Amino acid sequence: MSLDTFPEAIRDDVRRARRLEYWNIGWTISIIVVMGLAMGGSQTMKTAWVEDTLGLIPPIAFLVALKIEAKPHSKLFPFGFDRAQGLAFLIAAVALALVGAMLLWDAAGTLIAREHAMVGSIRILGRDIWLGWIMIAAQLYSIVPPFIIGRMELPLAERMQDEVLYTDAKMNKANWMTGVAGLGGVIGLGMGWWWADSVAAAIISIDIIRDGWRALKIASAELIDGLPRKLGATEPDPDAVALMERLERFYPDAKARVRDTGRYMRAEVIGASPGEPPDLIALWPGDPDRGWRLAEVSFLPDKGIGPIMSARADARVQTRLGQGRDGADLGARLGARRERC
Amino acid sequence: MMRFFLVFALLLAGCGLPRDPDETLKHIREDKIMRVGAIERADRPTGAAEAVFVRRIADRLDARVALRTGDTERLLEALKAGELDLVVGPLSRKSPWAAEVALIDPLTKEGDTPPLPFSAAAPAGENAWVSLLEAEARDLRGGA
Repeated sequence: MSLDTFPEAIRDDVRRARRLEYWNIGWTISIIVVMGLAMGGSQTMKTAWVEDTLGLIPPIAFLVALKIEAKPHSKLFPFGFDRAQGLAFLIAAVALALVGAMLLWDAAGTLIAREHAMVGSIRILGRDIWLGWIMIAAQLYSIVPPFIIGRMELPLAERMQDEVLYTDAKMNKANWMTGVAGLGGVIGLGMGWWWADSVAAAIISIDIIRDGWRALKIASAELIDGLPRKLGATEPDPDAVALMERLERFYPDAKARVRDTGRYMRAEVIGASPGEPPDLIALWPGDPDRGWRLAEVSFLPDKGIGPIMSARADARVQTRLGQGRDGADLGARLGARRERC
Repeated sequence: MMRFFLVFALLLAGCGLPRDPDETLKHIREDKIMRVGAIERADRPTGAAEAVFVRRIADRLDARVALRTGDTERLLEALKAGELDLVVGPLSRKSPWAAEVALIDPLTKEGDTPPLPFSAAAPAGENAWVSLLEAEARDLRGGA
């Protein structure tokens, strides 16, 4: 896969993240197998197993979205595929929230019905071993890989401004914490507290729902062109706010707005003519190493009257005829777009 | 963090997990009475495997057997209500009761007693008691 469509500053990180996600999938599958074999009649184990399985969604979504994002823009997709990531993220968020709700329903039902989970024994090499011990061993195993992988993903996600990778890092954190809660559940069950199993399962499922809900809010904000958000949070990205202010200072009579398209920001200045082609790097208010995030600044006429002169930065100029409110051809949309090839 | 939980798990190993939520096994050991229900069927007398099974467990726990006979439904209801510790008889894994009580694997090898295997049921979730019954059933089947 060619990484030409990615800014040079993050190509190494993209490569590293991709390799890490393949490892992540491999380890997760091994955990799913181990946990599945040890599952037995425990609600906690079932819930933890489902969460482990769900843990496959973010890395797969990441790899698929990365592949799509790497495609050059085409006639049918003139804006390229920057937002593949946002779409993948939305799909992952919905799946997460729904499965969490389902598991919570299960756990609550078990608690209300006062069902006592049966965890029997198994004979291995002539010795009868309580299945709970096997479950505890499986849980301990399931804690280690997500703990390590999640920590490796976090700095990469921040440098790449990648919501999917960030969600995956958070999900890995949730997964190893689930392992700890699950240990508590199985040990509690062994202590003769029949409710421990379902309570641990409920706690885990509430955590899954919380992850899904937060991801859903962030993904929706991006897809309806909300102000760019901080990675993994619903608060506005300070760089985006500063960029908006800076644009309005440069073009005092104009309004500026900024949105996220995947890992990039796109800004529009309404009611100003750029005169000189804007220098995107000079416009970027934040850390210059992250200047690649500003992919495009467009200049739009306020009332859509007449074409405005073009700005040729280090960029290709995109001219696009706009339709006015009354249906007439009213204006041209001009922009400076940074080449990412 | 990890080390803490490993130590915690090892500490618990000494406590003799699992334990029964309703302390069935403890009561049998203390009261020296094991309350057993044998499922009565017109077409078949109570099987030898069940008798051996019950006797072995009673010997192992040094308990007297208080036997009660009846039909499947009544005995399993009594088991669920905590009036019995164990029910033996022809029981199917696919029975709707499988979700309500803890079914032990058949006491005989498959195919020995068609159509239903002789089996045993314990109160749901009494995991120490269930584990003991399972071990005994395995011995009876010949270590399988």
